[in-house]
Amino acid sequence: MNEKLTTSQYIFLIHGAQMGVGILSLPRELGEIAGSDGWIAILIGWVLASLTSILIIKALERYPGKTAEEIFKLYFGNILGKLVIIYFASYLVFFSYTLMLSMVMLLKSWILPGTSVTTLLSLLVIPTFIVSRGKVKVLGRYAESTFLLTFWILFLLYIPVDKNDWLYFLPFFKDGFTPIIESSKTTVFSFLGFEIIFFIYPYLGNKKNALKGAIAANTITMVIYVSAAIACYLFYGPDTIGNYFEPVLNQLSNIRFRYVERIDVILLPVYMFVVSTTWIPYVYFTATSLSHIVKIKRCENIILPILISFIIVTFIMNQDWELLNKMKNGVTFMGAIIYVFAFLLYGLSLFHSQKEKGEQLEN
Amino acid sequence: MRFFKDRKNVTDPKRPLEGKISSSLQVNIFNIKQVFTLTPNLIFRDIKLLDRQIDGTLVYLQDLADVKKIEKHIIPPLCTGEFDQPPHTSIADFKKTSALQETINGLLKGNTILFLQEHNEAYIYNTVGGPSRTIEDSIFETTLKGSHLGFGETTDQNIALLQQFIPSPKLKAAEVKMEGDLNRHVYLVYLEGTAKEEQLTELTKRIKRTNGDQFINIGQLAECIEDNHWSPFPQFRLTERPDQAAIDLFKGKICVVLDRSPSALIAPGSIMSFFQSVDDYTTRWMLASFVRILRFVAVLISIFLPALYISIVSFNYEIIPIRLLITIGESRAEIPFDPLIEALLMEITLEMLREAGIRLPAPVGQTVGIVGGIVIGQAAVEAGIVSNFMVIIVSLTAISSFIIPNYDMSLGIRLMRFPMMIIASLFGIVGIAVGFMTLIGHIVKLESIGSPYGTLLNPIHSSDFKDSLFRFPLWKAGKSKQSSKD
Repeated sequence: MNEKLTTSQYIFLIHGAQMGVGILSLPRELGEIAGSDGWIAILIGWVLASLTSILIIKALERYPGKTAEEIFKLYFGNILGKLVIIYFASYLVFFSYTLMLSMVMLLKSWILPGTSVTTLLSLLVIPTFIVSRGKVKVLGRYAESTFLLTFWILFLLYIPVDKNDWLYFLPFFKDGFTPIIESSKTTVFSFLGFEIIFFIYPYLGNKKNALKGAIAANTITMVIYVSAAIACYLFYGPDTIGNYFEPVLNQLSNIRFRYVERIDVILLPVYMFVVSTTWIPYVYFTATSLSHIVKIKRCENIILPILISFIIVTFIMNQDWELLNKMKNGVTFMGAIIYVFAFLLYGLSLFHSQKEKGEQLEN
Repeated sequence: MRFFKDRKNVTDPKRPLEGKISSSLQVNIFNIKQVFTLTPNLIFRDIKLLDRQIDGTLVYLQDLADVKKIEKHIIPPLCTGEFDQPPHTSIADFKKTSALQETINGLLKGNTILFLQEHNEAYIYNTVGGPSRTIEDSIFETTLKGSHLGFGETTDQNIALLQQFIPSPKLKAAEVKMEGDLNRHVYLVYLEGTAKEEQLTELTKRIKRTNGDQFINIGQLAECIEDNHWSPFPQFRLTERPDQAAIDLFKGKICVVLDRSPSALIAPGSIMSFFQSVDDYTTRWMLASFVRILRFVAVLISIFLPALYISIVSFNYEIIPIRLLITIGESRAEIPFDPLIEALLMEITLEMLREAGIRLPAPVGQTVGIVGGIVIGQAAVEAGIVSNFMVIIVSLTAISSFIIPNYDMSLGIRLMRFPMMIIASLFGIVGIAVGFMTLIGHIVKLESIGSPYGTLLNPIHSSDFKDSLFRFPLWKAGKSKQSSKD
């Protein structure tokens, strides 16, 4: 616990965990349900995610020096706490594997159709192993540098957009609120990743900034989602957006410079950086939570077995997009439980503090 | 283990000398002679101290000690003046000792020892002379407008140079002894109040742990005290320029000076500092910032350009416009090798040419240029072994790696090129991206005596942001320094 995260590292870790491959298809998913009003649904998801982040921090505040696993044990007792840890570990490992796999599938379908999934996944394991062995501080620095190295991609999305297309957005709420609320189911899960607060909050140096930082991270994510969605609507219009599986990538492939013909081929590997800030911390935190169950002192030693098991599983299984979609649905379901869990934990912390107050009064 | 233990007992030459200095002059001289067998320049000079007719002997190693100084400032005052405790000489720097080992260490440094009859104490006079070189400009780190002074081989000289640049009593030079029989030591030079206390203690701890007996250069020390041995990048900056060291001292870094080594070690290292030069501060800030950005572009080119070429030619030809592709295709049409072999061939030739250029004496050096330029450049293309494009790319990478001001860093970056080329030939642009990710991850993970190495990549909290990728105007940078102190 002698490692401390700075506030900006904390912000970018949360933001990095939220940015996954979801954004590439998000505009389509929203457009299918809510048309051009889909971006408003992102705001709803943002409010809910920020609220949940605040509740998580409030619940963790009672034990500032403890790691997430120790806090779970304190709140739920030894056996139930261990179950929670197991749930988190399986969620994290499933999440990170699904993410790595979907990144690999994207790379395979866009750039390297001839290379096997297993080979590509083993390639991604190298940086994952190197960074995740460096503990929380290095994860923070990595997330921060990645943001600085990659945020410019967003501006490229606006290159092919014309001025006139703004009319697509008018009028707001053209189909009423129902489709927006319906599509906000999707957006709520594209903000998943804030649960990393459970694990990084104990390392934050200046605990006063925890709330502000979490909201800032959610806001950065929201801004990026909204601007990507708006760029896509501007470019495709509400009707054609459903025709493309990953409209963001398709839009990038429309950019042509004199010296670069297909910029999407360059940008997808660059985007891999952004996605890696999700799976790398998750692999590390899988290891930390597993180390609480298996009782291993140095949790870095589990990282390599986890990654090797990823490769083996990929080698054995037959991957296609259908399976990947099922896995994504599974992750989303597990994530939904974490939303509920955050509320539950907050309620429990309220109960604990009330009980303590009562005990103090009695004495 | 046992073997080593036994050996240590047998060959330890100091064993009889752990004792005190005897009151008998003859015994002392005998002891010294016993230690320094086969040392032709060991001189014993018997003198009589005039007043009380006391016998004394001066011992020194000729050529290591300054004999003129001894003859002028030690012998005449001793022989003519009144005897006193301590004896009269006109040398201010002396000390009294009763340990024989200390006199031997002193002798080896070039000091003069005075033994006196019926005294069980000896006097060590500082008469350090010996071969040394005058102060010259550093050949290795040339600058246009910086001072033309370079560090020499003696610590005293080097510390004095630093004192000239920073005339302040806050400039401290702490002596740190290394492990080992030879009693080697280094000086940690730092500005009190500016250098961080925990870094000082950490550095001291690490230096104390190392065995300095066989160090002939400070590079060896750097390797022993660095944080991560599995990295191609230097983790401390070695500089031969006192003005550079002074700039770093002002920034709160610590300068380690080792005797016999013409470069000083600057700790902690950060990746930014390897791309800075003294000239950045002598030119206007806009130009300096431009040059710094140029250096970073050069780094990217020298790591990624050959890899990018390989990946474009063999995998991702859809990236470049069709007309450029046709040009490349035409120039590659007759080449028998695949791009990786072609690139490796040329890059390795380039590295060999460069290495050959360093060690060759100047008159022969021109031959390398002619052979390299004509044979490798022109003939290889005409013979159809490599394409014109490859020659352009290799020359570009070569020039880019020359732009990096620090040689150690330039070496590390040269090395990174090869894994990048291999991974690009296997996975194309995805491979390069993974390589870049690994590189960033590695740099971010590195630490130099506990402080982060890759501050370039997280400039948000590095306090010297204003002097990193850009060089902000000095009046602005000065302001920030003050505010960070508060």
